[in-house]
Amino acid sequence: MRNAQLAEWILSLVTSPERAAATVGDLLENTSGLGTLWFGVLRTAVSLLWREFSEDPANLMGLAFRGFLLELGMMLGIALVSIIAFVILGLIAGLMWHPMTPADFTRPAIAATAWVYFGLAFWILVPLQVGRWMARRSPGRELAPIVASTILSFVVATAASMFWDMQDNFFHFILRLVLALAWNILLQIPMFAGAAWVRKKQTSR
Amino acid sequence: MPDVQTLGEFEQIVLLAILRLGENAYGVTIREEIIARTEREPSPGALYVTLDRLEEKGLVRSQFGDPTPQRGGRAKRFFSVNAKGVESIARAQRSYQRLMKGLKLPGVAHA
Repeated sequence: MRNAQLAEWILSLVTSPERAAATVGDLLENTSGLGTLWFGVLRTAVSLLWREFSEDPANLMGLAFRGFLLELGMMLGIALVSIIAFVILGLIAGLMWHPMTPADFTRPAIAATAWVYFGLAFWILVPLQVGRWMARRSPGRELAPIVASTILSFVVATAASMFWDMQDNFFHFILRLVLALAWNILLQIPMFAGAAWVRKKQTSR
Repeated sequence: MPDVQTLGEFEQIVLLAILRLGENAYGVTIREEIIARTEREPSPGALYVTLDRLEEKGLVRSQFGDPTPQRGGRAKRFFSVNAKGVESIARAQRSYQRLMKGLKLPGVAHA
C-alpha cells in the first residue's frame, strides 16, 4: 500500500492528484507484481512529462536557457561573496590571532570546509533554487522546464566535450562525454526537487 | 467545414475502443479492448497521454466513479466519446474507406 501511495505521489507531479490516483488504481488492477507496477508508473510518468515538454518546447527551452544564465549568475555571485567573506574573516583572524597567509587556506580543515560549502552551494542550493524559479514560471507543468534544462545541459556538455576533447583520441572523447552526461544528470536532481517542491505547493492549494 | 479534429491512428483506436466499451470504459478495459481487437499492446503511458489529449481536444470526457476496495480505495476514471468525437472518428473512417474503395492490395484477400 505504501508503494501505491508513493506511486501516486510520483504521478501527481505530472498530472492532477485525482488522475494520479485513478491511474495507480488501473495499474494495481492490471499488474501482477511490484516490478510491473513500478515499470508502469515510471513509463506513465515519463510519457506524461514528455508530453508536457512537447506541448511548448520552444518556450521551455528559452526558460531553461534563462535558468542556465541565472545558475551561472548565482554561482558567480556566491563565489564573489564567498571570496569577500573569506578575506574579511582572514583579516579578522589576522587581527585577533595571527596574520593569515595563502598557505593557511590549504590546511585540510579549511580546505574541507570550503569544499563542503561550495559543494552545497553550487551542486545543491543553486540548482534547487533555479528549479523553483523555472517551475514558478511554468504554471501547470512545473516539471517540464527540467526536461528542457536536461536537454540543454546535454547539448552544452556534448559541445564542450567536442570542443576540448576531439584533439584527444576518440575513446577518451566518448568516455569523457559519457561521464559529463552522467554528471549532468546528477546535477538535475536538486533542480528536479526544486520544481517538485513548487508543483506540490501549487497542487495542495 | 465542421469543427472536427484530425485524428492520429492511435487516437482512432482509442476512440473506437471507448465506443465499443460503452459505460465501462476506463484505463484497464480500454487497454484490454485494444489488445484483444488489434493485437497490439499499448504502453500505459501512451494510453493515458492519448486519453488526456483526446479530452483536451474536446473529443472525450471523463468522470470519476466511486472508490473501490479492489483498487485500494481508488476511483476509476470513466471515459465517454462526445458528439464531436463521434463526428471526428466517423470522418476519419470515411476518409480511409474512400481511399480503400476500388483498391486491391497485392497479396491481401478482400472480403
